Amino acid sequence: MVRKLINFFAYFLFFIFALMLFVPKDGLYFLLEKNLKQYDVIISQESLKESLLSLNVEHLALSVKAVDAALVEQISISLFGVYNTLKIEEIELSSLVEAYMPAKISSFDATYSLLHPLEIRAYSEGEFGSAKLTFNLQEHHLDVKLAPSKLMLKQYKNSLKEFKKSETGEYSYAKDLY
Amino acid sequence: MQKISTNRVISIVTTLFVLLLVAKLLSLVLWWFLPSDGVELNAKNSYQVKYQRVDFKNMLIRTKVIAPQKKKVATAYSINSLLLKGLYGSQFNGFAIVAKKSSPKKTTIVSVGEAYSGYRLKEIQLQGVIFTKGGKEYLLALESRLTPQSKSTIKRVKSSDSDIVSEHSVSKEDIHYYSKNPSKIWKDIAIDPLKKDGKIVGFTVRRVKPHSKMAALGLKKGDVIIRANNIKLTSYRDAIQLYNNIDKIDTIELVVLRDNQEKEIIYEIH
Repeated sequence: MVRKLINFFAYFLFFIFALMLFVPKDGLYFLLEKNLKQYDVIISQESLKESLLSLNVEHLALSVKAVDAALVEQISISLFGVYNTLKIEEIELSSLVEAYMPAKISSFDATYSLLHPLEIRAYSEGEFGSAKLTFNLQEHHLDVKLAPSKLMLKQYKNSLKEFKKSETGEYSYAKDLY
Repeated sequence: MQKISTNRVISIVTTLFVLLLVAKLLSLVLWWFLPSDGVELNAKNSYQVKYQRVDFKNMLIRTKVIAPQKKKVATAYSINSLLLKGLYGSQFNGFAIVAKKSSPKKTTIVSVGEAYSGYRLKEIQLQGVIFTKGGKEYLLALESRLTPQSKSTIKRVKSSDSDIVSEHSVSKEDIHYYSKNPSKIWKDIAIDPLKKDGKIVGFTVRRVKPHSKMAALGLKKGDVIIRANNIKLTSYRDAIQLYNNIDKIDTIELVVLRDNQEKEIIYEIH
């Protein structure tokens, strides 16, 4: 029985691997773009590079509600079925967003795995400091834990007012998104 | 070591091959249904003809009058005892807000044809008015023209709510300040998009901080800004483009819907 279960699991992993190998990643990316458009988020000017199990999107301009929001150097999307990652590198926010937070974000890494099937977890670092994000897919609840940098503490006090400061000095933000 | 039979190997390889085949078929099905192209920002061409106020009526009149008018201005005397605080109208229609230098806060509204302190208001010009006295013409320029100020010089020239057109003078320093500190704008004013059938048709002014610079600009709670410099505001991008170019323009014309009536607000940036 155990041997059969192991066999089944091994075949299942092989099937997922094969599926991820053959799946048209650019098509999935275009589907993601069309879904983001519903929220007025548009990615443009990008170039796609497809590899065996991942997709790299380079030199893209991100706009929200038709307003330029950020320039991104690279996004790497890796799909392994049970463990999926999205890594964003070198984000430069537009001058409009800069009024609310420092412009340069060096990295944003998001993961979705079967270990936490109801959550997308992310970690980001930049001039603003570092932040841990958790998004609950079932409750559409966003939770952010921020460790602000000196720059953020000094020049963006108004933005930090949106966060709750704990006794340990950690800033947290929670919002239900619908 | 347990020897794996040939049949067992064939069975494993066959199963893997079938799984590969199923995965490939599934990906082909996905390929068929997934979109083949992405979404690009379909931005309108940002090129705009420079905004200029055009009044066909004035154009027709000016073809006859404008040449001698310049001569008159050149020979006009200046009035040292009066201050011109504001003006409205053009040529022979409108009024001027004047005060005596001895009591600058005590203003009087003088219509074209009316007399004030021995001078009769003859004509309204863009940056001043012409008074007559004893057969001579006197030019009185707007106060802001005479004494350039470094601080805010927002002046509400026409304040009646029933006016279809109102004009305001805005200093470049204020524009520069707001363009460098966009977050300050949202402290003084709150604007939300107004949507019809899912499309933005304008921007509604939700809140204007009383006695702020924004309040002095003539916008009121409930106004719907529908056009700026002859461009329909149908997206955030349209509004932001105006904001981004605000340092380069010298006139802003806003058309707002107030009480279901279109109202034009013109800002001359000095």
